[in-house]
Amino acid sequence: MKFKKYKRKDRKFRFRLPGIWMMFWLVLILFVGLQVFSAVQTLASGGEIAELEKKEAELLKANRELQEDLVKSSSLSQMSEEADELGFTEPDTIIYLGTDDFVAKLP
Amino acid sequence: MLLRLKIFTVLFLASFALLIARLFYWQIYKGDDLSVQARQQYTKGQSIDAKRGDILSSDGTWLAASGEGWLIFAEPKRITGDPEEIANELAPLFVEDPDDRKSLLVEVDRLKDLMTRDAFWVPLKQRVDGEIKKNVEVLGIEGIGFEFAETRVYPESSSAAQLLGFVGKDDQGNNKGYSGLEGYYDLTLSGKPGFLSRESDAFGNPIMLGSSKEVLPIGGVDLLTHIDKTIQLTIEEKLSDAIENYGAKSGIVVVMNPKNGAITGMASYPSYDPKNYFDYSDELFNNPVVSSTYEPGSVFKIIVMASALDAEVVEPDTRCDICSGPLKVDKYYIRTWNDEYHPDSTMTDVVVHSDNVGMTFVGNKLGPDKLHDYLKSFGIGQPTGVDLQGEVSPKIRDKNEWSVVDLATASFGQGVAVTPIQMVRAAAAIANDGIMTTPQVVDKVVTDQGNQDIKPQEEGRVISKKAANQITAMMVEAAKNGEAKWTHRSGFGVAGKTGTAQIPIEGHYDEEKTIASFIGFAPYDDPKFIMLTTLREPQSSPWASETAAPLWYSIAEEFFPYFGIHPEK
Repeated sequence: MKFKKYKRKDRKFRFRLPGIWMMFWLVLILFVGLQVFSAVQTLASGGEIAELEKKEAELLKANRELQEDLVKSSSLSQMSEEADELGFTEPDTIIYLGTDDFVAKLP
Repeated sequence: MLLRLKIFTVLFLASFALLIARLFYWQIYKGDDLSVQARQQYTKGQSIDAKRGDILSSDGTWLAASGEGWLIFAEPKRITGDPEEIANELAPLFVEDPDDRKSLLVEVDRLKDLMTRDAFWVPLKQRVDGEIKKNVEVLGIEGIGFEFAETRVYPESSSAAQLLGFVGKDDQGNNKGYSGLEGYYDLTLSGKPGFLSRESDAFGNPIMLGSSKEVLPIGGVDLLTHIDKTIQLTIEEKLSDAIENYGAKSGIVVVMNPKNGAITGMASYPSYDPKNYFDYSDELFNNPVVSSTYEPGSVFKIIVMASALDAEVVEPDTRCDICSGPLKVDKYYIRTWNDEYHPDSTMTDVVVHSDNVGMTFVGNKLGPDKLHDYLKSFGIGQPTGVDLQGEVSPKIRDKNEWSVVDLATASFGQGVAVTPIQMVRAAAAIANDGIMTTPQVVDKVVTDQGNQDIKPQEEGRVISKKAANQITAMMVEAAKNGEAKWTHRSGFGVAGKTGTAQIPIEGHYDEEKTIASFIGFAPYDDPKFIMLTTLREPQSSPWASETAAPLWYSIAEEFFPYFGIHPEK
């Protein structure tokens, strides 16, 4: 068997070159990992949005119901009926009072 | 060994090539189609309804408002239970009176028929309120669903129905206002729907990194009207009583502020419930105040007399020299309503006695050309421009088409057709010192950015202030001493005129049927309101002095303290 003769490399360079490349790959992996994590989080927030929209719909529904109650309670015809039931009546006689106008004398 | 290695290498390469080919097929060749299919699955677009604007009375409370309504639907292919049983459970919730067996059975049949159809989706009941929806939900029936549908709420029930109009559907199934204010201001009240399109996952949750498009809806604006609820409810109640007491077929009451044309009340009978408009005949949807025409009769005399006074062809004390008996015009005789004649009547007497012969005298003095011009100035034959859908305007004869008979009959309000709103507007010009205004229901448009005033529109001077004062004085005398004097409320400065008009039927006038009217304003020197009451075919008496006039005064009695009108000293 033939063996190739290898020259021994300079000790100084053997430790620097692998270090830089490792840093580069580490940063790249971290960056990609962060991107993936952030994307997953954003995608998962769709569920939260759906929940918030559901709550919004419920609040809007409650608002509509309150509004409808307010509209119905402002009914004058209903108030008039209730007034009749409570015994309120219109006046039989209206008396008009005449008054003389008194004006202060100018100085 | 080497051979096996080579075979495996070839097989591996072949599989790899097949995979690449397959990927090419699905990603490149079929890529566009699959992309479209995927987008259809996860992209949803839906229209967002805009809230319809409310209609408010003058004090800001509601006449018509948006409310919560539901459409209950069935998906027949998803119904697992027995349709008849389901129909039996739902029918009592849908009918008005669950004790009415007949309507209950009809409803059961209807629902059963719908649920057994060969369809994916059928509507069972529209415009259902929240309570009924809850009761149906509690039953937990598979295949029954609910869809929100905005509905209209009318806190005063069917009050002012024809003035308000109603909200129905158009051809596309969208909400649309018909008749009255809902029809006239439909675009303003409707607003503009929005749209939302976005990508969703299999659960329906939005995909935040996906594409989305949103257009926010623009809600309809609210309308603040001049309608005074107290006035409106008062005239509705009194009109309803009068219809019953006098046996009239129909009637109207209109109340207006003559100084600015503000319509503060408008009632008509018969009417309908706008919430359940579909249960009523189409004819009831028209507002007779703006859509029906009639020959006004003697109330029209104030217009003709005012014109003659303004043209100075007569004075209040001008004597009628043809008033001693019936007057022959062409081949006809003009008679008074009671066949009583007053020789040498003054013009004031002519109005007080509602003398047809006297009015023919006035008409002849004016002449057809001048009368035609004055009628046009008073707005007769033209739409008033009131902001209500469905206004009509009967034409008046052209100048050169007036015969002597036409001149005579028009002088006392027959042979000429008007709508009630035209009559009110014309008389309001008298009350407003000779200046005519456009009738107006809506006062302001209420938006989020603020209120937009709809200013009153003055149409100009029709007659001089002097002529207006003269005719007003005649109307005061007519109210005090005319045929309706028995119902006059003494002490209150009312200017008014009765009118009993015959109804034309197939080329002649009916002998018995009449339209009884009273038009008046008070106080005459500073009018707070002008009001027209009209009763069609009253059975108790054909005369306005015994029907429309008492109705007018019964309403005015309520109005005097309300408007702060006190008796004259």
